[in-house]
Amino acid sequence: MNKELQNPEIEQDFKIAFDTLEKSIDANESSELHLKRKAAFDAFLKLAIPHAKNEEYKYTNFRKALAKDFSLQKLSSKSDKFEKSDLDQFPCQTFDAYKVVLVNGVLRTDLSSLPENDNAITIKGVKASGEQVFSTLLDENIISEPDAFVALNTAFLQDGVIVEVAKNQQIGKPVVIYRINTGDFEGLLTTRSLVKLEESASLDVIEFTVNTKGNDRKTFQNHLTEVRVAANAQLSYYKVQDEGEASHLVDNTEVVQYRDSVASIYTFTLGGKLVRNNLNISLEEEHIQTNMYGLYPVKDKQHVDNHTTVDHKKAHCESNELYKGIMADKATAIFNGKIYVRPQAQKTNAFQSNNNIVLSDHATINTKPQLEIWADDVKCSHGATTSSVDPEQMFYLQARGVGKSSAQRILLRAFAAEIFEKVKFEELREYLGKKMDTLIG
Amino acid sequence: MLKINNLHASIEGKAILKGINLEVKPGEVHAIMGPNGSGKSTLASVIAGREEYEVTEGSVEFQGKDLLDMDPEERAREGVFLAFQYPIEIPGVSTTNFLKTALNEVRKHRGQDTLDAVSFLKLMKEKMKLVEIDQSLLSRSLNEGFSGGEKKRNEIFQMAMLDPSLSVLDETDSGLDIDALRIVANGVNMLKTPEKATIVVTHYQRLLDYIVPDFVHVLYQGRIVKTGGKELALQLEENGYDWIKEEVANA
Ligand SMILES: Nc1ncnc2c1ncn2[C@@H]1O[C@H](COP(=O)(O)OP(=O)(O)OP(=O)(O)O)[C@@H](O)[C@H]1O
Ligand SMILES: [Mg+2]
Repeated sequence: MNKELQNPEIEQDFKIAFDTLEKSIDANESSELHLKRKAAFDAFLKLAIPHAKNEEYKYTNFRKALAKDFSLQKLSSKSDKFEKSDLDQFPCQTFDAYKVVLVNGVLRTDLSSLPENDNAITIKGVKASGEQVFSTLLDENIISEPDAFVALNTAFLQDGVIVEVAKNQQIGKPVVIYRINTGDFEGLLTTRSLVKLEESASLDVIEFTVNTKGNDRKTFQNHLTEVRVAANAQLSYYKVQDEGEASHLVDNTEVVQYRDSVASIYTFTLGGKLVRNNLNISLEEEHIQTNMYGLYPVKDKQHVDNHTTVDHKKAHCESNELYKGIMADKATAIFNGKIYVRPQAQKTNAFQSNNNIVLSDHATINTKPQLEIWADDVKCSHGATTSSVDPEQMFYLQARGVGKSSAQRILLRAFAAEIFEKVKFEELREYLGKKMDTLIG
Repeated sequence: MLKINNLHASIEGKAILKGINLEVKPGEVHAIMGPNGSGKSTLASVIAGREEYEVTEGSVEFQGKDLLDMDPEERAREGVFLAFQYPIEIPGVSTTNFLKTALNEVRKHRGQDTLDAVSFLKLMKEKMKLVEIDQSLLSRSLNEGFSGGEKKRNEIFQMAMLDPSLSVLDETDSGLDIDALRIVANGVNMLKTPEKATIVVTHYQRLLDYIVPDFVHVLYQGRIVKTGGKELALQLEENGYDWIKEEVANA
């Protein structure tokens, strides 16, 4: 372990938790699962929880956050107290959808509605899939630079979900994944998801990362989703993060796309004390389209950090990125968007923009585009804006009789409209809009 | 209805209005004319409650209440309407979209029932005819890509919807061709009742052929320097403002 790190007890805590986990689930010291986990944990110890001097985590100091009376030694496991009726508090319940319910990281098949004997789509638990899944399927799609949280996820992996869509299959109803934190423990919560679309398949996924009502326990969640979009396949993936006031969340999403595929990844961050999103997308072949949309209406002392990377490796691909933030009170937001255009990736179109509305003098936004372009025949653009609500527009609406807070709501809805109108599901759109409205008193 | 008494207002420390006195009674139409930069829009903005303007002296009473004490939305709900000289664009917000909120907040304030979607639409259709405006325009982003005439007709449409007792039209006629002018003026006239009053700010006598004023005021350097009947407008059209400026200089 790096001796210069402050609060080395953080890694010590993780070590204790890791040893406990190893003992509880795997007696066979030489099994592949064990070795993989162990290697990942060793890698984690070398990388360590990033501190403020780590360029990638400059504005999001996890060492400081985790040093404050976190009980990381405890692991999530209890999920049995959660019942079917408890699901009612979460959105999109009435959807005609495949439903995947993960409670404290454990897949609850009794609460889920999964396809049965379906040739088009299969959904199964990571744990139920057995050891070979772990060592073959998982990790194959990890494309990011070595990252402590990715390593930590593998080290602590217990359960999660694997969604696979077969070749040429268009799945008419969405897969709704609930990652629920019930707050029955204070500690570490880990899940792993894998979403795999074969050639010319299509699928919509809506993923909620939520906690049960009134749950203000301090948890540290570290999720990892691997996504693989084969040639000519189409995926929309909506991530909705609506965590409690004390929740710390790292959400890693690794997407690999192949020729002629289209992937749209939406990230809505509505709650949580500290949220870090790592979205990494790799465009392996030609004629790929990628859309990345983000919306983070935040208030109080919330801290939201979106780091995205899109790696154009081959020619004729297009990426569009649009992230919008609304910040009230003392909230902080970070946006870092990396675009790589490799030498072979001629005729690349890559667009990025990050727009923010700040509602308070005490809110902070740090935005940083990072374009690294090695090809010469490309179209790339990026732009960032930060402003307050336009006082002229406010006055216009007020002069028509609209009260101050309604006027602000109308203008913020308009600001977010560009993203909302791309959301295919009306119920989801409404839920997001209402959530956003609550930002204003 | 409206009593303005010795009103002084400034922006960024610069005095613009320097002692305005004006009384408007129900049923009356007042025209305010005057050279560019004399403070006409400032007066309109102060009546509507724009916060950038600081009232340094004087009072404004509206139907017996202190207008200056109210937020802009309260004034609108009490029955003051300003048709803007330069209506701003609001991307992503359509007229239909905000006007339903506006109208219902206004109606609530006046003790009327709020309108559901159906009755709102019915009222809209009725008022749309008045200013010959198309519904598609009302569902587009406010003023984005609207022609000059469309912007002004939209202002009068909103006025018709909100049914104010005092309307202030700030150069609603400027830049309109004769057809658009006729439509706008007709709209205003059809909304006229003996209980309502109108202030029209204009540079052109042409409008006053359609909306006939009871009084014409000349605003110059932040003061009303002359008041007359509708013939004053004709006189100004013919002779310009130089004679008034001279009068002021010699006073
Ligand atoms: N936001 C502002 N900041 C500084 N000065 C301003 C501002 N708004 C108006 N003024 C000044 O106040 C004075 C009066 O402006 P106002 O718009 O009221 O004139 P007006 O009579 O409406 O002119 P016009 O006929 O051109 O519409 C002008 O000298 C103008 O430059
Ligand atoms: Mg003016």
